[in-house]
Amino acid sequence: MFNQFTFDNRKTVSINFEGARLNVPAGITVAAAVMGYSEEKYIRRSPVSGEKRAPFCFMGVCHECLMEIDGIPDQQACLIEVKDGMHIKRQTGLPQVH
Amino acid sequence: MKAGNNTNFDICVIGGGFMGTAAALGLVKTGARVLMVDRISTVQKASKANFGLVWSQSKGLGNRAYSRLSVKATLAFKEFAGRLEQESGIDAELRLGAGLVLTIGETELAARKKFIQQMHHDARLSNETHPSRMVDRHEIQELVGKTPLGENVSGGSFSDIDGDVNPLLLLRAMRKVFSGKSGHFLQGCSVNAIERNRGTYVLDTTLGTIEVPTIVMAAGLGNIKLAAMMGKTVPLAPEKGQLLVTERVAPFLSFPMSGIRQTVNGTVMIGYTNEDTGFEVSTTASGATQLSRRALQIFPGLGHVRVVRSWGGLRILTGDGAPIYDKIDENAYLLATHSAVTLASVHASLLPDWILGGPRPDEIQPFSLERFNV
Repeated sequence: MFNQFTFDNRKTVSINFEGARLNVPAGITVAAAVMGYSEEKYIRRSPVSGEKRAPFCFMGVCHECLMEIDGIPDQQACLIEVKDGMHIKRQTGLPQVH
Repeated sequence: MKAGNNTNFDICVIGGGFMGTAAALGLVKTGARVLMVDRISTVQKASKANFGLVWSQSKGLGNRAYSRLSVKATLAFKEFAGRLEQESGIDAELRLGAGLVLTIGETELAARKKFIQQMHHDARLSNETHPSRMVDRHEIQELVGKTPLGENVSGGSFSDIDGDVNPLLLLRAMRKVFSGKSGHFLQGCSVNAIERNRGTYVLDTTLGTIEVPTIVMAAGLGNIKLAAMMGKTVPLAPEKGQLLVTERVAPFLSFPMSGIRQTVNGTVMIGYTNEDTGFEVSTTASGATQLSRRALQIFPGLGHVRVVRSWGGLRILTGDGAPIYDKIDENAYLLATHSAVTLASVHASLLPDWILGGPRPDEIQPFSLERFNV
């Protein structure tokens, strides 16, 4: 579904995704990096069905791409560019209201 | 599809939100050839900014006919949404059977009690009942379950017919069924002028000319301009509402309250402000503060939950808060209400025959423009 245009001699950056190192093209967004380069290409799981979910709009509107980036949860992964050494995690489990 | 110079339709419904789509849906089901037009999606639209309540308990104080219509619509909603789901394959996440208006402190509780007593009193005068009752803090805690209520929650009113729905999915389902019944939907089409021409209306639009025997104005606040094109004034005004939306949290609230609801997917919607700021829809720090403060008074546990977005939208306020259904010209109809989600079920069933030239149904008899001219 997510095919990458080919760029020659593209610079790459190294990010840490779920504890593993991932080399991805510089200049792409975190959402693109996860959907294009991670092993299991999904952003989150539905809290209702547990199904894997991808970003929907990829342009900052739908909030379906929220991830933990450098320790801060609920970041819009589709709007944030990958940086060398960035730590990215999926958000698992739901906060409780109690 | 371009409008071109189209003369193949019986009716043009101007406005593709809840009001227009409900009317258009009812109209195509009678076999009429219906064109529905809607402005570009960046235009402020109440149907895309609302809270999603299907709600009767608070509507129609001092206006028996409006209260009665709201109750009828709420009771008809299950069948309406069920049929839409069958025909569209879209589950609009309807939940009926519990709705709460919660109060904080004794002053709010006393005011709510008075309000509900008045609703019951008015209903009794017509030998009817009103589907609401006061509940105390203890009963609210039982309804909510284990999530602790804030210490200042004093009580509220409860209805066992009210509920909520995902308004975006419901509108999508309505449009899909409308199109499936050979209704035509033209998006990105603004009406610039309306002329009468020997028994038809000629609409000058951004997508060409439309000529039809009957027009239905259902454009929300846009009705102000549309009516003016025919020399009419309608008492409509905007009221801004802001909402906060949180990250998804584990299910903790299975039914809607007037200002807080948790969607099926876990997000919490926190509403809503009532602001008289004209046609602007900005979100403000003071609005967010007001909303989050109240949410925390209700559920202190929301304190560590993150807000991920907020938005502002415009309500359609009529002169007296009740709907307007009227004929403003030989074959030109005007429909406007703040409550187009809840009333969608009755709009789809009650309005079409009248718009097609039939008698005005009793249920909508009191809602003409005439009442503003006394």
